[in-house]
Amino acid sequence: MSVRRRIQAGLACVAMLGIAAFAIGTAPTSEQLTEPFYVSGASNEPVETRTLTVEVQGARLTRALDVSERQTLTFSLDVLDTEQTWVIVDAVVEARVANISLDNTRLRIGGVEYRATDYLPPPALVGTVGDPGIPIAGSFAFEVPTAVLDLDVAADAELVLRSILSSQLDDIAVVAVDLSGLSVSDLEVIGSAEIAESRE
Amino acid sequence: MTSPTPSRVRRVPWWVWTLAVLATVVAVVALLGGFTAIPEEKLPKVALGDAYVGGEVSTVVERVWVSNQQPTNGDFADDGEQFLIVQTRLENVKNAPSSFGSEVLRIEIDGVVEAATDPDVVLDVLRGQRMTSLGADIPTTVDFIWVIPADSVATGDTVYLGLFDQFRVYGDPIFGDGAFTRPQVVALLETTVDDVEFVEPPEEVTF
Repeated sequence: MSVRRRIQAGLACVAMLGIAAFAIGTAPTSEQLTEPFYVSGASNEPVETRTLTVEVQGARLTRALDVSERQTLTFSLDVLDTEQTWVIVDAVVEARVANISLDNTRLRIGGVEYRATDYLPPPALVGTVGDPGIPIAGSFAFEVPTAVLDLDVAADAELVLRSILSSQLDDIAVVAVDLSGLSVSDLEVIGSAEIAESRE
Repeated sequence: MTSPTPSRVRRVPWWVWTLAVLATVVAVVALLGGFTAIPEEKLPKVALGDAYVGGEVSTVVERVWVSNQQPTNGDFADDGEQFLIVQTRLENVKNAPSSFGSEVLRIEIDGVVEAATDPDVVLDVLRGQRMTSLGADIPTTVDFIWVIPADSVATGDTVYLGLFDQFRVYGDPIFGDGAFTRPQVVALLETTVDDVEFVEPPEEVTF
């Protein structure tokens, strides 16, 4: 092989390595490949995903939750205190395909996610929501730093409902919730979730 | 026609080359300290009341004491047992809920608690319930409680605490970027038992 041919072959190898490096560097990660589909909506209107329909009916702020309806062998608290603030989001959720678990429901404020407490009286929305076609009315409660609720981002909070723990390539409902300007009560009673009147 | 003259030098077998390369790699790793265990003395020391900020949770150990009464629900230890309580202030420093809080520390007391022993219960003190998750940016007082034999620890006894952290693993073939290493000791805290208290249990009512 002549020197010229060798140089050409070498340059071709370098070029191919460069193309391969570019392809690897710009390829989507496995997380991006299996990213869920976010279905966004506003409060007081139904937001429908593959597995559920949710309608957020309002939000309240309080310093303590009265959960006295919840009495089990391992849980006997009447009031859930916090050093921060409880955000209560009232909603109606209806399973569409099969009963669903909303244990992983989050409230997102300014890019930070807060998990819904599971200390509420059962049956609760955080848990297994009933059979398809039966709307369930209840509340989610989130412990949120008080200072965050004074920020502008509180007006753009979002309720994020993952119907299962892993939502890869599945729908996730994201509902806008305005938490700005809400007064903070001393105590709010949280009862069990109940069957709601059908929307139709 | 003459037969080819055999080489005076025998060819070195392939496995000798393989072994030589392996030995070289091992020698280089050993020279660079790759096989040396990290001595405990090299881990940072944290004092009682100081915060150790890990990748997920900030930990402040506030007090270590022993009691025959559980601090949140008032239950008494069984005969011959008592509670070893480590009170902490934990704060999730990530931007999402953390379930790592119950893993952030373990205690060692010679002859009483082995270093790898999980606590019998980890309690959210404000609510008196088991701590399941730490909310982002919400400081929480958490008690780590071990049941130990009665009279096995005295006020002033030295205790050793290891503070733990976990690290994200990127590109895991199963979990992608969502996997973590096993919890690892990242800092040490040496302190003493603050108090051994004994609360007289109420007399049992018999019918």
